[in-house]
Parts: sequence; structure tokens; C-alpha cells
Amino acid sequence: MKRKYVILSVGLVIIGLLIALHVYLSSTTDQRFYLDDQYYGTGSLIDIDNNRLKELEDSDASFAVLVYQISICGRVSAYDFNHYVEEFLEDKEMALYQILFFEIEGTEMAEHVRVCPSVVIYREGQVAAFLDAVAAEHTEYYKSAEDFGKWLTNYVKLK
Amino acid sequence: MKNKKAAILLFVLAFIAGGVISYFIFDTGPAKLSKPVVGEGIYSETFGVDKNINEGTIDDYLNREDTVYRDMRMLIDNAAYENIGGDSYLSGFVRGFEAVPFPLIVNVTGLPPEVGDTYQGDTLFTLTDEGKYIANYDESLEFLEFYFPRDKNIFLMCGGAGYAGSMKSMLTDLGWDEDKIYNVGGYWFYEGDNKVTVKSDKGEDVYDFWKVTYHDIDFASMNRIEDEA
Repeated sequence: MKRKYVILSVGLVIIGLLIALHVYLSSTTDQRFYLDDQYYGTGSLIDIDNNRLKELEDSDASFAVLVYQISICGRVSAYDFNHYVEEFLEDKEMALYQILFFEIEGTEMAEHVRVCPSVVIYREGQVAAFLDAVAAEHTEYYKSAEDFGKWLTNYVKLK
Repeated sequence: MKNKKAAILLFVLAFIAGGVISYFIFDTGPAKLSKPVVGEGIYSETFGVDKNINEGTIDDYLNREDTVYRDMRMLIDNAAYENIGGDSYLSGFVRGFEAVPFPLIVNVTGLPPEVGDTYQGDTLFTLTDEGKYIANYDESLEFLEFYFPRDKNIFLMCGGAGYAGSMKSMLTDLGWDEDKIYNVGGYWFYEGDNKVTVKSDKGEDVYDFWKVTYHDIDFASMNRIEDEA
């Protein structure tokens, strides 16, 4: 009986150590990933609609989408952000999709994005991260192409 | 036995009467609103959308007697907003909001070249390059005071929060109490229970504008202030 308890305890300790090791390795290794190959080598924003977005979400693709809907009042930073994304993509020769906010209804993206502009990154068909226009900590990433790049490269590797 | 029944009946009636009287004594009207506070994130900061009362929470603040609800859009905006992903049509609104078109109140500036010009006709005010609002009609200020009463809370909305933000700035500059004016954001991002759809499903480009309480401005009936020589 005593021997069984010893074996059980040793087993639990080993499992605990393995879990701790996994957590440590996860926090220190690079979690970033590459988008699918076709999104490198060209700097562009590709228009898609609701149907196409749903197709992409149903696939195992890794890609990113700019969600936008321009509002104008003289203070046009929402409009400027689209330009910043374009600037970054041209510089780094990457392609993202772009979709109107009206078009995201019924998609997985709509469960995350409440207002726009936003950029949503998909990894193997699942939302991995999104730039949130109502999150205070994301405000700085909307200010320039370089700042946007800082956010994107937290998740996506460049080639 | 009879006395017991009478006593119980009296007790119940007294209980109900007490409840009714208490309601009238302690009901002090709608809860006071918190002062406007700009929300977090680039969207709220850019347009001044309120942190607490916005398109995500507006359903909790409708039908207040101490508040007016104004949608600042035109039915069809002259600007080609579709060229940059916008919507030139008032394709829907939140129930209770009445449309008072911002481009007819003051000239709209700063549009990207892709959309061309918005409405270029008469306006109640002109915003000068120095940032001053000049009244173009004797009735200009009276119009604003009628549709944006100074003694009420003023909830402003539009498509993407832009016109609403500009309207709040204008009213504040003209002396309205900024603590009574709330930019509650953009209808485009509204997902509540009080959506009134104007874009009809009867066909392409068919809009039920008759659903909108729209306050057009009849400039012909107003007295234009002549420019001083």
C-alpha cells in the first residue's frame, strides 16, 4: 500500500514538472508564425466580401484582413490608418485582405471586431489576434505604418 | 370569522395603497446621467465617443424625457463615401433618434479627394479657417436651440461617429454645456434591439425614408444675413 502511494506521488511530481516545463518553453520560444506563402512578395490590399471571408475562415489558411468603414469629420485618422497599412505592405511586400465592416456579419470575425478599423490575423483558419479600435493599449499601433508594423510583427513573421 | 376576513382584506388594501403612495413619493424620474467621458481606443479618442453611453449601451438610455436624440446624417449624402468604404445613405437608425442633417448646419471640410464634395448648398453656419462659426441666417441659432435644447441632455449619433463628434464640438464652441452633450457613436456599429432598417429588401437601392423623422431646413423661409461690405 505504501509503495503504491510513493509511485503515485512520483508520477504526479513528474507530470507537474512536465507541465511547468511546457509553460516555460511556451513563454520563451517564438510564437510568431508565417502567413501562407501567397501573401508574401507583393504589396497589396485585396478586396474580399462576406462569402470569400467565410470560405477563408472554413479553410486552414493563415492570413490577415483589414476591416474598415471610413467615417469623416475632418479628423480623419480612421482614413489615415488604411494608408498606413498600405504603406507598410508596400514596404514589406506583403498582402492582406480588406473587407468592409458591413460585410463581416455572420463570420467568426464579427464576434471579435465591434468597431473599425481593425486588422484580424488568422492562423490556420482561427482568429489568432486582432487590432482593437476600442482598446487603449492598441491606440499607438494606429498612428503610423511603422507602429502598425510593430503590432503585426508581434504575431506574424516577415520574409 | 367575518371580522377576521375583513381585517385581512383591509390589510391587503392598505399594503397596496402604501406601495402606490411610496411610488409617487420616491420616484424622482430617470437616473441622473454620468458626465460625458471619452472612451478608450483610437475610435473613441478620434471622434470623442462616450465611454459609458455609446452604440454598445445606448439601449439602456433610450426614451428619457430629459434627453433629445439626434442623428446627424442626411438621407442621401452628396459625398461618394462608397469610394472609401463608407455609406452615403441613411440606411438605418436607432429608434427614437431624429435626423438633423449636419452638412446643412455647417459646411463640411476635410474630405478625402476620393469622395468628392458633400452638400455644397446653403448652411445655417459657416466654419471659417480660423475655427469660428458665423451665422448665415437670423434664425440659425434659434434653429440649434430648438433641436438641441440647452436644458436637456443631447445624444448625438451618425454613421461612423464623425458628424456626431463635429456637432458636439460646434455646440460646445457656441456656448452649450459640454457636460450635457454625448457623442454616442456610430449606427454602423450598433447591434442593439432598437434598429430601424431603412434600406428596403424590395430591391437594389430602395430605401424606406418615410421611416425617418427628418428635419430638413427650409432656407427659403429664413432671413439671410447679408455680408457686410
